[in-house]
Amino acid sequence: MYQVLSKILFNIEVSPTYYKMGIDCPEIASIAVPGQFIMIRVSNQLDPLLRRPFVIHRIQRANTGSYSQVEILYKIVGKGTEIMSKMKEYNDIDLLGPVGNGYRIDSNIRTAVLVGGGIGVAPLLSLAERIISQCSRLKSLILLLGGKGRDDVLCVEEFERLGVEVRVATEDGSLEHRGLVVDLLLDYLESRDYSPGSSTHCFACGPDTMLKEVSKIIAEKGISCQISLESRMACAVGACLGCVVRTKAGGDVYKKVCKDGPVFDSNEIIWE
Amino acid sequence: MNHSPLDLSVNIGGIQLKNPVMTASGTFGYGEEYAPYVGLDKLGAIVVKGISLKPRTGNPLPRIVETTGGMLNSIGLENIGADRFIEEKLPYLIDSGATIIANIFGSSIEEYGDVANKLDDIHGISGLEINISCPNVKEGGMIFGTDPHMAFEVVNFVRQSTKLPLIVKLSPNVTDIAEIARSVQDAGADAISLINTIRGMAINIETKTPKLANITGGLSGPAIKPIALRMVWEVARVTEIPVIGIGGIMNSDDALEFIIAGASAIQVGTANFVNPKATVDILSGIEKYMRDHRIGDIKSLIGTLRI
Ligand SMILES: Cc1cc2nc3c(=O)[nH]c(=O)nc-3n(C[C@H](O)[C@H](O)[C@H](O)COP(=O)(O)OP(=O)(O)OC[C@H]3O[C@@H](n4cnc5c(N)ncnc54)[C@H](O)[C@@H]3O)c2cc1C
Ligand SMILES: Cc1cc2nc3c(=O)[nH]c(=O)nc-3n(C[C@H](O)[C@H](O)[C@H](O)COP(=O)(O)O)c2cc1C
Ligand code: FES
Repeated sequence: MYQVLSKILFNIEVSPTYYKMGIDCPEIASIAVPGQFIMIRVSNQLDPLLRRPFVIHRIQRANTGSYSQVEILYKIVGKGTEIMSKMKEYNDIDLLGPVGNGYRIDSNIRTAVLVGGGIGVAPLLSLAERIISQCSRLKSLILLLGGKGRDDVLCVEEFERLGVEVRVATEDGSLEHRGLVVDLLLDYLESRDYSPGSSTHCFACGPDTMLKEVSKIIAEKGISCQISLESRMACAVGACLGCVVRTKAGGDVYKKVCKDGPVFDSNEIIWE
Repeated sequence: MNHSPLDLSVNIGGIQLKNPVMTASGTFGYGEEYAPYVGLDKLGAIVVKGISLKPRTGNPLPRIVETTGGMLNSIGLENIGADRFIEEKLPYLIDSGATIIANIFGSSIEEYGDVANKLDDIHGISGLEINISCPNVKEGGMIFGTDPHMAFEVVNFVRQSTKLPLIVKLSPNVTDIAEIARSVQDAGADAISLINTIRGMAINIETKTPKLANITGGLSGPAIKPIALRMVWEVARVTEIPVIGIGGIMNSDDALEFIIAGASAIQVGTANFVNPKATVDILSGIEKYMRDHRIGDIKSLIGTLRI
C-alpha cells in the first residue's frame, strides 16, 4: 500500500451527479486488482477531515504497456464528493492504496454473473476485464444492472464493448425492466441460460439491501458469490476498528471491511 | 545554520524515549498496520490499542462519524485480549525495534490489576498506560476517570500489581481535571497522559436518529485541540510528574504548543488516519523548529509558556 500525490488526468460528469476520474498513479495501478479501493484526501484543510474510500473502477495501461492509471466512478452524496467533482485536470490528488483484498477470480469460471446496483457497478468493469483475460474457459459473462432511473444506470456501453451481455432494471421503469435488479437475478436463475454447478460464479456490489437479497437468493442455489461491502472508514489500514462487519467466521466475529474485505463470500456475512 | 546534533530525548516517569512523539492508543493499531509508512523505531513510543484481560467484541455499527474538524467514535474498546496480544502482536513490535507501551483497561479494579500483572513480566514492554477514561464502556471506564477517589483506588491497585512505569490517561469529561491529576499522582502514577476523547453526538435530521449506533461517542481530532491544550496546561501546573499531551495534534505546530504548555511528550491520534506519516512529519517539524530557534535540547522547551 502506498501514499502518493498523483495527477488527475480527467474528471468528467458521466450522468447527472455521477463522475468519472482518471488518475495517473503507476505505483497503485501496477499492483492493484479488481475489487480493491483507494482512499482519497479530498481537501488539505481540516474539514472534511477523513479520507474517502472509492473502489477502483478501471485499471488502465499507459502507452508503455504497464498499468499506470486508475479510474474511479463516483456519485455526489455529500461535501467530500462535492469537492471532488470540482477538481481539475492536472491538479494533484493525495491517495492511499491499493486497499483491501479484491475479488478472487477462479480461472475455471465458465459462467460469471455480475450484479450491480447504482454506483455499485463501479468495481464490476475492472472485474469483467480481468475475468475475460484470465478465464480461458469462459462461456458466458452477464451483467445485471439496477438503478432508480435511467440516469443511475451507468457504463452499459463499456460493458457491451467487452462483449458482456447487459440486462437492466430501473425502479421507475425509465429503462428496460421496471423493478429491481434482484428480479433480473431471479429470472436469470430460472432461465435456460443458467447452468448450475461449480463453474458458475456470482459477483455483486450495491446497497446493503440488495446484497442481502442477492445473498439469500444465491444461498438457495448453492453457487459461489462474492460481494463487495461498504462501511464507514477512518484509517483503512486495520487500525481503528471503525469499519467492521459481523461474520460467521468462528461463530460470530467482527472482520474489518478495509483489510479482510471489502470483498467477502456472501455466506460469511451476518446481516443485521 | 546550527548543525550540532539535537537532543530530542525525554524521560517519561522512567521510560526513556528517543523523542517526544508517540502514537495515541486505538489510532495506530499494534504498529504493524502503519509500518509501510513509518519506521516504528523512529518514534518515541508506540502505544498500542487498549487491552483487556479477555477479548472484547465492541459496539454495534456504525461506529464512526465525521463531524466538523473531527470525528466521533464508539468502537467500544474492541480488542483481542491480553493473551493474543502477547502471542500475536507483540513479537512483531519487538522485532521492529519500537519502544512499546501497552494501554490497558478493565471493567473492575481487579481486572485492571490482572491485566497489569499479566503484562508485568513480559519482555519488550517498557511501560503501561492505564485508560481510566474511555467514554464508551458502561461498566466502569467512565466512573474511574471522573471521580478522584475511584481514580486513586484503581491507580493504587495497579501500582501494586506491576513494577512497570505507569502512565495514567485521563478523561476530559470532568469539571476539575487538576483534582483528578493530583489524585493519580498521589496514588503512585509515574506520568499522566491527557486527553482521551470528549463525549459527543451527531443526529441525522432526515431520519431523526443518532448517527452512531451507540447514540454517543468520543470526539477526537483538530476540533478538540484547544480544550486538550487548556487541560494539559492546568495539569502540568499542579503536578510534578511528566505530562503527555494528546488531542487534535495534526502537525508540529500543534505538538509544540503542547510542549510549551508543559507536556514532556505528545501523542498523535486521529491525524494518523488523515496522514499515515503524520508522526514522522511532526517529528521532523519539531527538529526544524529547534534548529530555527537554536534549541539544542527539547527538554529546555517544556513548560516555557510566558504569561
Ligand atoms: C470500500 C468502499 C468503496 C466505495 N466505493 C465507492 C465508489 O466507487 N463510488 C462512490 O461513489 N462511492 C463509493 N463509496 C462510498 C463513498 O466512500 C462515499 O459516498 C463518500 O465517502 C461520501 O463522502 P461525502 O463527503 O461526499 O459524504 P458525507 O456524507 O459528507 O460523508 C461523511 C462521512 O461519511 C462517510 N460515508 C458517507 N457515505 C458513505 C458510504 N456509502 N459508505 C461509506 N462511507 C460513507 C464518508 O467517507 C465520510 O467519512 C465506497 C465506500 C467504501 C467503504
Ligand atoms: C478510533 C479511536 C479508538 C481509540 N481507542 C482508544 C483506546 O483503546 N484506548 C485509549 O486509551 N484511547 C483510545 N482512543 C483515544 C485516543 O488515544 C486519543 O486520546 C484521542 O483520540 C484524542 O487524540 P486525537 O485528537 O489526536 O485523536 C481512541 C481514539 C479513536 C479515534
Ligand atoms: S477503517 Fe480503520 S480498521 Fe477499517
